[in-house]
Amino acid sequence: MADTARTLTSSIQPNRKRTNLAPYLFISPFYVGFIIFQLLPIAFSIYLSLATWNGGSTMAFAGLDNFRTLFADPKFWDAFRVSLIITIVCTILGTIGALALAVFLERVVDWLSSLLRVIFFLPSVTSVVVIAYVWRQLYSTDYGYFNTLLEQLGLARQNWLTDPTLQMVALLVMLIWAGLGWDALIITSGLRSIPTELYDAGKVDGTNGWTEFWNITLPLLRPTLTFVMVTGVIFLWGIFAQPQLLTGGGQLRETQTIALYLYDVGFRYHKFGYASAMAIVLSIIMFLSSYLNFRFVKAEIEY
Amino acid sequence: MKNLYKSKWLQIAVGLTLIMAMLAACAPAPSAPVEAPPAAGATEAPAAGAPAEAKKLVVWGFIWTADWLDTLVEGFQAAHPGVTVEVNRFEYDPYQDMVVTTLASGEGIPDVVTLDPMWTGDIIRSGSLLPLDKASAELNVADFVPGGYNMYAWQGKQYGVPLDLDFKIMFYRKDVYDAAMATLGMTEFPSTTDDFLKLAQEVTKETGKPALLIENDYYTWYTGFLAPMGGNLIDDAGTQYIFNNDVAVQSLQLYSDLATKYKIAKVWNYDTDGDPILAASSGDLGAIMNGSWFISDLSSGAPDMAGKWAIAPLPWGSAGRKYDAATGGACLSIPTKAAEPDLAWEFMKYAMTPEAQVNYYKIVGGVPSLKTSWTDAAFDEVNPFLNVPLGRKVADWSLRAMPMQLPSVEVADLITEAIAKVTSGQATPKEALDEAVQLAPALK
Repeated sequence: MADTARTLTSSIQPNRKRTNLAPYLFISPFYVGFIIFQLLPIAFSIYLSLATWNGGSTMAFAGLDNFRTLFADPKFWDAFRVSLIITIVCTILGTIGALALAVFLERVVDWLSSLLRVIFFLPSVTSVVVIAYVWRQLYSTDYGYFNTLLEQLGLARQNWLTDPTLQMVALLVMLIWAGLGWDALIITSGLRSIPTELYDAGKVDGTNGWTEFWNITLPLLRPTLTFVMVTGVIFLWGIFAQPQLLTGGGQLRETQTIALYLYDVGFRYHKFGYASAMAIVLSIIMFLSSYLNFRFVKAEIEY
Repeated sequence: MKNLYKSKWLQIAVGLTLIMAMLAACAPAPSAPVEAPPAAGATEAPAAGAPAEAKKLVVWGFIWTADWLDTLVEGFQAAHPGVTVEVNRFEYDPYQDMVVTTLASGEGIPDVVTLDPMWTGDIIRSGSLLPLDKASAELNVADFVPGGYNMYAWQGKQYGVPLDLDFKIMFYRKDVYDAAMATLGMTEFPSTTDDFLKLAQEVTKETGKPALLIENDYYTWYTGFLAPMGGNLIDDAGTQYIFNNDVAVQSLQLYSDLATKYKIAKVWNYDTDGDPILAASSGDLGAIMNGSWFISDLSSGAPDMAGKWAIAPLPWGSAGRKYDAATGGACLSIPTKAAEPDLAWEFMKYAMTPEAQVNYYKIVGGVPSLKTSWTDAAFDEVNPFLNVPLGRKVADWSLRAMPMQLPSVEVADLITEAIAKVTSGQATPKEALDEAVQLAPALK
């Protein structure tokens, strides 16, 4: 019996080893790429955040100096404020807008719903550069659509892209518009996963449109909304291309986000250690925001 | 059993080979080997007729400078058998990022690099360029315009040899300004602030339009106002910022007053005001301060206005001042990690011959810093748009241009912000410049 078992074990072992190794081998290209192109750069960035290096000089260990400088840097806090405003306003208004759009699209006739869905989704598959260029034209002081409209209404032209207040509004409008279609699509999939029986049961209980939305749709949509908001928060904290292309961050940094300032510090001022420290702090901010967002919405899922 | 193990190891070997092949395909193309940098000129490049040793010299330039560098290749290769020169041409916009990233990465570094003064200061201070120790011995420094040559010196060492001189001059509507001068009884275009203000106010009064366009950036203020008024960015010792001293405050006050107090100038915002050439072609632009290269934009953008425009040195400051502007202009340099620094220096010397510099003027349009090239008849050719020998005038005026200091990009940004605060009324010149100096990175 024991001999038989030993024989079986010895004959099975190589097969087990082979089946154990082969999958790792096949998925190893991803991990090799991940280690080389993501993990090592992250580790290097963490090391760099503790050093001073301008690209040409010798790297010198600086301890936590970069972080001390960062927290005392008024330009960083200006950029933080800009990023915070963008994240809060775009997340709240963008999610509400996308939810309203998704619910609306579910209630109109199919052909119109499909058409509108395509129209609203188009910005998601359009280059950021093209979007920013089109909006720059719309906001143009001399030739822009918005100023022409204002003029026809008897109102004064506005410097949408240079006025300290208006350029933030201009950026927020563009960002919310550009993200609406994608978010609405995700929310639509969430809406369609809600069992119709619940609505039928609600009707028996006497729900109207509002109570149906408030007591059935919204609670069951919370996982979807969590996803939309968490991905939105991560995206918005790291936003770079849109403000860079629309306003360049503003002459007095009115729309300079943390990512824009990080780019300036790293690639224009050559302070790679300082920029790495900023990247680490930005990552922590993103993590904390996402965590709080997730916790906040998750706590409300129970109903 | 053995077959099974063989098969397993074969799988692993094949798998690893595939992974390595994929990674190799993703890797950048092999570049010239980067060696420890010897001092420039440590060994001599082989003279003409010497046994040929195959070497490759990589030279980087942007737009027109690359076109000019191309013209040097044949002659240099003929004088240096076995040497192949490869000129890489870049568009201007991505060029700065290309240079900075390449110098920082240490991969694919050129032997000779064309640099723009707007961002060369940081590159010099980062230690990415070789000091040109042999320049003073092997080039006749007196042949260069002092403003052009000294611009690329930092803490007693030379890091670049200048190509052209880029300093601001006044382009003005001759018909409009002549009419106002006649009204005021002026016979010559003004050369002082006070006289220009009188004239510009008259122009604005007669035309109802701003007499002057000023750009909202540090370069315009520094080279066009601060320098001629006797100020500078950093003290002579290179240890302290001085762009918040009394002269600097006065010059920024004047800069702002032109638009806000005297109402003779429009502070131009390219984002909202668009291309000034459009304003020029529609007759809305009385004058603009720019480098001599601007003539090609002006003549092609507003061809109908040939003969209606004239040029003059900048008028800012009092009579008897030493300078009319500070000059910039591109240069050639050798990166610290260049593979062929000695050959690179030979190439730069070849590029600094009068013949090569005349060619530079003909192709690029900028007046060379090398004075010995100015004897060529090309400088006396009359510009058909202005009806004056533009090259000769700019060459003569360049002798009254001081070398601009090359601040870090961060300092340039801080000054630009200070200017914006002042012109938008958010701060006084003193407050804005003090804040900029306070936030500026320490000088080492």
